[in-house]
Amino acid sequence: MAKKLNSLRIKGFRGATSQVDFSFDSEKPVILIFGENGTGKSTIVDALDFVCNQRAGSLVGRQETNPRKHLPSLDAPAADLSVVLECGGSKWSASLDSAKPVVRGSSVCPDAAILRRSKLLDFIDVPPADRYKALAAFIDVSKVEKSEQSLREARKNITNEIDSATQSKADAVRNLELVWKAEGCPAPSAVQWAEAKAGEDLGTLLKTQNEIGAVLTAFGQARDAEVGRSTWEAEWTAAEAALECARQELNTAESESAAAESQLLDLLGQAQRYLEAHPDLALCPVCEQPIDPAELSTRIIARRKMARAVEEASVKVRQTQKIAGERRTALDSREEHVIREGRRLAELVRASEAAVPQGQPVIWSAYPLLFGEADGNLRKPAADEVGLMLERLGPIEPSFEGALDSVGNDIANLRNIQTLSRNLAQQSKRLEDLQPLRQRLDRALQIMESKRRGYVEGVLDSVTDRVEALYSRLHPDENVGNIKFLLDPDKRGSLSIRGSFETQDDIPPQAYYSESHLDTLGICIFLALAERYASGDRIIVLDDVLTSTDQGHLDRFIELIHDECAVQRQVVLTTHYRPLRDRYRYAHGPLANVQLIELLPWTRARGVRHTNTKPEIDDLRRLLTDEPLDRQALASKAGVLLEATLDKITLLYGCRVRRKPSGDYTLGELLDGLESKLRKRLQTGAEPLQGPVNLAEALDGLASLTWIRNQVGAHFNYKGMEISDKKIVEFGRATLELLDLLVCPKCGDLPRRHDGSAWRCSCRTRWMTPLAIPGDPLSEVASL
Amino acid sequence: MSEQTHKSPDQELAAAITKAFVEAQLLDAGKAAKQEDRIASGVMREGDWRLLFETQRPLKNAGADGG
Repeated sequence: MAKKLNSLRIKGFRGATSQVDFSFDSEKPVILIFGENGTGKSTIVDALDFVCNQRAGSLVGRQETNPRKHLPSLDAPAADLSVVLECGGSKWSASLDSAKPVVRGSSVCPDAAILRRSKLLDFIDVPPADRYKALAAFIDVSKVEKSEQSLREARKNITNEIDSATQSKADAVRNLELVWKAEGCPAPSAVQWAEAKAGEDLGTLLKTQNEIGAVLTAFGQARDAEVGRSTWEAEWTAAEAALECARQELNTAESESAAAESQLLDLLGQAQRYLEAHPDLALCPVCEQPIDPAELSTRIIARRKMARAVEEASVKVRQTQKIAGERRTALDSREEHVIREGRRLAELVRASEAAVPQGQPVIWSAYPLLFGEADGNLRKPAADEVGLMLERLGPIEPSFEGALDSVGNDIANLRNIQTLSRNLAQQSKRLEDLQPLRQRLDRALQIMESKRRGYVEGVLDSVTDRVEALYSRLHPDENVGNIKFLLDPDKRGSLSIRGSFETQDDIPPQAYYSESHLDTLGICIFLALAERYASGDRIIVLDDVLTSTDQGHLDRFIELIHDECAVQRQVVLTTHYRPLRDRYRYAHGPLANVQLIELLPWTRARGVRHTNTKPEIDDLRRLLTDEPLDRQALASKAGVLLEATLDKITLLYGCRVRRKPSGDYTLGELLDGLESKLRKRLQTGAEPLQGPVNLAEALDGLASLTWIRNQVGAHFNYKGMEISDKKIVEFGRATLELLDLLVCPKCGDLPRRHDGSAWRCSCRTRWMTPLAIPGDPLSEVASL
Repeated sequence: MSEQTHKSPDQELAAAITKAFVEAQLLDAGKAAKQEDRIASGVMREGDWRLLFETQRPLKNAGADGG
């Protein structure tokens, strides 16, 4: 048995404007909370939802509501909100953090499966997709579905990759075929050809390309060198001519100044400087002869000028000689450069004979000096041979250019083929890897989809069986039921519901069933699902799900709750339906197994209030001992209790009572209905607590006292006033004695279930015989 | 009343799926428990599936019904 609720404290939450505490009897598997509308039933259920499921209770899904604002009581701050649940000796405290419930406790709080009246038809009278969603809340495989979705995406992406690789491979083959056809289809297939072709050595082609390129470069360089040489040669020739001219000028100057000597020129220079220093000199300082200094100075200047012309011509000769020498050196260097480039060109051409067109042989022996020993004297002729060679090789240069283009094309083609072949191989390899992977993913996805569907169907099958079992307990022999859930094979998350009605099978229940039959179907589906996925300590809460119904259905509902649902886990029932509460109060249900809580009128100042509901039999016991005696209350209570008991017994036996349109029978009519042949044989007992007792004596005694109920308990009259207290107490005690003989001391229920050869109470301790009026068939109630 | 189960629907379904994977030779039995937990907790991503089945041995008996 799951843990039982010990207590619930609600403060500042919804209708609980003041703190309210509920103490639960952990011995009772069912807690029945009765309250008129607006007394706080939903507040209690919302509080359980808040602490057990961390949900905002009935606010969930309601438009324009905000848990932060609307969960706290009116005008109460959210910080004051508190729900404390004690269950199985453990305690959990829930508060509101931002808009979310926060639960604190030493272990995992038990969850609560809650069915509200507003959600009763969510399993039935909704579109198939919504029905699936409502059931999926119980059959929650959303995490596996998430994994399945990622598997589906993986498969989709692999498929896209395969499509892309297939396309790339096809493109590569198509392009190879174009090249292959352009080459004249040289092999059985483009792919075979390309595989062989791609293996060819690109290096050889690149080497040839380099060699031909080098030849063409050498052509250019040799030609450039040769063009430069003629320029340098012209400049050297000009320098030589200038030198010759300078030499002739020097010869002329020297002949004109043959006698001139340099020593004399020096002496003349000194004499001129002396005369300039002594402008008044009259005698020669050497010979002491009279002199004319002016004339002497003029003659000295003329002699010195003649000598300077020779000097200047000599300088010019040296300068032009230097220039001519430099230009000669440069020309020599240039000629050597031409020879070098010529030899290099010749070597490259000779190395690339294959590129030389046939019929245009090169006669290399025509250039002996070019390939001979280096000799400075033969430099110019050798360089001239280069010029000659360039002139003769000129016509074959285009063939090298053509060869370069050709080898360039070959290289580009080979590279293209190699790229296409490589791409083809890569895509083929990729497809080899991807296709088995997709096979596995396909298979895995197929398994996941199939297993999920099978699982949900399996759960639905098991739930279906349970729904049918529960529903047939509520509606025996009513030609309704055979409920089935059917997953739509063509749609994900779509669930149809089918049932039978009278002679029709496979019909949608919502089309034929009454509102109350649909309500009870919703309850049965909920209970079956809640059982199927009940965690260890799950609490089942039915929030005001039962509305007006007849006695038979009400009794069977109570039996269903106690026999089927409250065996392994606790059930909390809230109701505003008074007959449900009163069935227990009048011992028409296992009173000992239910805790009755009654909610008092709600006020804003006092919030939710409650009291424990007392059984009627306890009230009767109290009235018998109260002082002073409340005559009217005692007579009335005893009468009503006796009526309730006799009503049940006459119904069980199908007794004949005077028929009335209203169906309400008086105490006397009910007693008269217990005909003597039944009354004589009525026996009861409670194994092993009480042996068989005949009820005839008790019933006969009561028959002589029932008038007291009318005289004292129901009306104002003088006759009643004349009846003694003793007589009224006698009536009350006689009623109590009968009830004590009939109500089970263990479960608090009347023996009202057909069980073998007797009527028995819920726990089968109390029995009552016979099963039927002697000589009569079993009553309708006994036949169910 | 039916027997109370302690496995969540996700866990029950994931167990059935991984068992079928092993039977279909998509998954080594030694890896089943770990994968079962991952499938049940919804943490399997696209890349995880790819990695899982890339590294498994070649698919055999692909036509067998593992569903």
